[in-house]
Amino acid sequence: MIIAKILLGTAVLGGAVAMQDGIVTVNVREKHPGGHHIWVAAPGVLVPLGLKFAPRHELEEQMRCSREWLPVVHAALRELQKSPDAIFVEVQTAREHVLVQKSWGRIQVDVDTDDAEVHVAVPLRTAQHALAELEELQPAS
Amino acid sequence: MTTGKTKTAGALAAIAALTFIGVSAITLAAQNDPNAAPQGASATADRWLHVSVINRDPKGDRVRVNLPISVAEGVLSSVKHDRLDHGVIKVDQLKMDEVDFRKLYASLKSAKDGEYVTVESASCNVRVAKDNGFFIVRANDKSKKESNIYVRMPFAVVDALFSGKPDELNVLAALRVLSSHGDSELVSVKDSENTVRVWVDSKNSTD
Repeated sequence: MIIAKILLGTAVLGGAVAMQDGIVTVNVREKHPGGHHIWVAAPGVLVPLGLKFAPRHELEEQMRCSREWLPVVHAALRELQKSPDAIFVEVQTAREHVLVQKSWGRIQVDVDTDDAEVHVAVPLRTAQHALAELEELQPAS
Repeated sequence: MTTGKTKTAGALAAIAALTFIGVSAITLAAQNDPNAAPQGASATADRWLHVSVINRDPKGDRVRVNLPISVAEGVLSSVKHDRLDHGVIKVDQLKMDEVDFRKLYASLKSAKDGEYVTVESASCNVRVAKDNGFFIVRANDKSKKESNIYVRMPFAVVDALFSGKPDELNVLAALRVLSSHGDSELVSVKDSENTVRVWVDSKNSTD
C-alpha cells in the first residue's frame, strides 16, 4: 500500500513538473486520399531538454546565422507573454485560411489549405526556455 | 469492518494529499508564469494597432492584423539591422523632388487650422490640411472608378517621428506617442477592389 502511494505521488508530481511548461502540439493532416495524419503532443519541458541532445555543431551553425535576431525574438516573446489572448493575424483567401493567435499562454498557428491542414501550438514558456537554451550555444562576443 | 473503513479512509486521505501536492505544484508553476498575472491589466491598458485589408467581393481575400503596440515597441527597440537601429530608421535625406518634408511639416505645424495644399489635376486631387492637432491628407485618383486615400495623423506622432537627427525617423518614439493617444483611424484607402484600414484602439480584435 505504501509503495502504491509513493508511486502515485511520484506520478502526480512527475506529471505536474512535466506539464508546467504546457504541451506542444503538432497536427498535420493531408487532405488527398490516403494522405498522412500526424499528431504529436509532447510536454513543453522536453523541448529545451531535447535541444541538449541535438547535434551541437548543427545548432551552433544555425545560431551563427540567426544571432542578431535572438534579442528580437526574446523581446517579442516577453511582450507576447504580457499581452492578452488575441488573434494577431488572419488571412483568408479562396484557397487558404491562416490564423496566428495567442490562446491560453500558447502561440497557435493554424493553416487550412486545399491540400492540407496544419495546426501547431507552442507554449510561450517553452519557446522562452528553448531560446535560453539556444542562447547558451552562442560564442561570447 | 472498522479496519476496512479505516483503510478506505486512509487511501482517500492519501489520494487527497497527493492531489493537493499535485495541484500545489501546478499552481506554483502558474504563479511563476509571468503570463498569468498581468493578463487582465494588460488587456485594459494595452493599445492595439490594427490593419485590415478587405476585398469587396464577399468571397475575396481578407487580411486582418491586430498587434499590441507594446509588442511592436518591444520588437522595434531590440532590432539592429541595416538602417533600423533600435526603433530609429536612418534615411539619407527626407527630401523628394527637392521638397524638404521637415521644413514643410514645420511650417504647416505652426500655421492655423485649415486646408493648405490643394492639387487638382486631370489625374488626381490631393488635399493637405491641419485640423485640431491632426495632419490630414486626402487624395483620390480620377483615373479609377473609385480610389480614395485618407490619412489622419496626430501632430504629436509626427513630432515624435521627426524628433531625432535630420537624417533619422524615430519610429519607436512615434509608436509610444501613438499608444498614448485616443482611438483613432490613421489610414483608410478605398478603391473598387479593396478597403484598407489602419487604426489604433484598445480592442484586441477587428470588428
